Amino acid sequence: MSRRSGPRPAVAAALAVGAIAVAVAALFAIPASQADGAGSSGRIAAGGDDGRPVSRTDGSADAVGVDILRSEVEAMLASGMAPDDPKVAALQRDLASLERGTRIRQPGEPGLDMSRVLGAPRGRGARSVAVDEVTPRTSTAWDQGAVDCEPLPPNLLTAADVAGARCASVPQPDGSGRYVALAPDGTLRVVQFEPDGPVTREPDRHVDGIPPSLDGVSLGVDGSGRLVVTVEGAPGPTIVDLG
Amino acid sequence: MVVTRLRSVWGVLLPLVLLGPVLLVASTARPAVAAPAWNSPRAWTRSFYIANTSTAAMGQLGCYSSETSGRMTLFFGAPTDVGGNFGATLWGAQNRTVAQIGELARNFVRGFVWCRPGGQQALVGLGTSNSAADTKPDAWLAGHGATWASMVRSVAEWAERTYPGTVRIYGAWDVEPSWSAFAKADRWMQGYNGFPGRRPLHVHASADGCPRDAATGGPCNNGWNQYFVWRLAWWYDPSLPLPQVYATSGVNARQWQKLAEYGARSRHDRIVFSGVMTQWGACQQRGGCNLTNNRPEQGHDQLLLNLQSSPLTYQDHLDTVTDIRWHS
Repeated sequence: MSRRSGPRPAVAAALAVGAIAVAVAALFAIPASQADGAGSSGRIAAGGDDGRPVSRTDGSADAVGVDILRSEVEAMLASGMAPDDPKVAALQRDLASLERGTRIRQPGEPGLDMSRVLGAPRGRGARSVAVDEVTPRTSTAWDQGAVDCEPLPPNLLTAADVAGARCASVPQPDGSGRYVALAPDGTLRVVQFEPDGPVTREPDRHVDGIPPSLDGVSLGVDGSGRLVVTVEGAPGPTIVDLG
Repeated sequence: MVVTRLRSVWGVLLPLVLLGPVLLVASTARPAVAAPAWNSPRAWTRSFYIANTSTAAMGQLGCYSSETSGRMTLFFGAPTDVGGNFGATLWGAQNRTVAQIGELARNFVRGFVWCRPGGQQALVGLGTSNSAADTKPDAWLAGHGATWASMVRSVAEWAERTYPGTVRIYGAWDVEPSWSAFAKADRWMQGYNGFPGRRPLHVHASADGCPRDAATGGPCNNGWNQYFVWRLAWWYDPSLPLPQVYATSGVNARQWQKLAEYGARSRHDRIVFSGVMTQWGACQQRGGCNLTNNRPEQGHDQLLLNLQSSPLTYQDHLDTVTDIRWHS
């Protein structure tokens, strides 16, 4: 299943001098202010908010995939991994494939016209056109009703938030979505998904009359984008407006 | 006489005692801490949580991503059942089967190829997570892992055949101790790893609660320990570690350095990191995060500096920095 067996020579050597080396390393240790990020030197120029490539500080060209794969292979070999190690071999195959691919004509997909999808001609300049052509979302893009509970990063909903909860997806008439988690104590946590980007946690709400085990509780959605909480045996459902 | 002899002996020994360790380190290992000149990644890429089932939107996303080269990941949510088929949740967007996710990925590739202005090459991870795995039977999880591996291989073969020299496809996995028991996560990985021809896997693991000052197999959150995290992030053959380094305090980077040190000391198999993941973009989308919004260059610098603090974990560069955000 995995390739590992026995210590690598390089690691064994490093272990042999490890204690001494660490002691020496301490003489040159990183100041705490750097290690906690405050003193980070920012050697990569800060990327733009749009995620475009950042320039190397030495001004050389941006790397492409083959450069990255080659560099990854070199790092693994430098660490003492064998050339026939499965990880190294897999990356070397990818490197060879990517290099080979740059020398042959791409067959592509005959008949495919992405300009219809993207509203942009092929190649340079296409991105700036396509980015403005965001496909409008409709309420049908979202699940409707009960869904599996899961955390939503970054800490919009944590594992603790969804532990023992019931969750639902509630599409809104304006094309946005709400992901809700109803906890056994009746706390209703709501995350709002706006089309094309923003995802925000709304203030918590509370639904009364929820049994602690959530037994007999079901979540649904009405035609107006409201959450319908039904408790077996209760006189009627609780309607929660999420708009 | 005795004093003179002692002085003479110390005259030889003292420099050796003082300089010996330095010479030993210099001859057997790379510098414990590099001077300020390490190799920087050329660019950072964007990765995405995909909460959108539109194939057109995926094409646009590929187009949008086409000005950068390098490793990036598309996460599709937790494993789930979709009408009796293996699938993923897409976080409230409509659940999709694994096969449908493969189609979404193909459109991302098409958009990337269509729009790339030059020789950009993407190394794209297609990802799921160990979220909600506790609610799934072991055999189901292994089946999901194998099915995911099959889809990734299929998309990879298609991309290699159709757009050679442009895109390589990988698996990807957001695995976090707080999200499931270790045994459940390991079952998924066994399924992925056991599939013939499975592709390498971007492992964007977190090290929740793992030790920051010890490398002895100590405990992490939810009953995990350093061995468990090391095993999933590195020991399995497909694993390519690009861990989450989110904390502005640097603690995540410290935890990963200790995990790498644990591998070197206790398993004789240190981690070699392919890169690092930050969540600065996602934090911006939600209006800010409290102390977990490292910018890409911060995440990079924190991990690299910590790795360079010990010859056991020394790495002179990290090739990838990818910053994740939502695509809804």
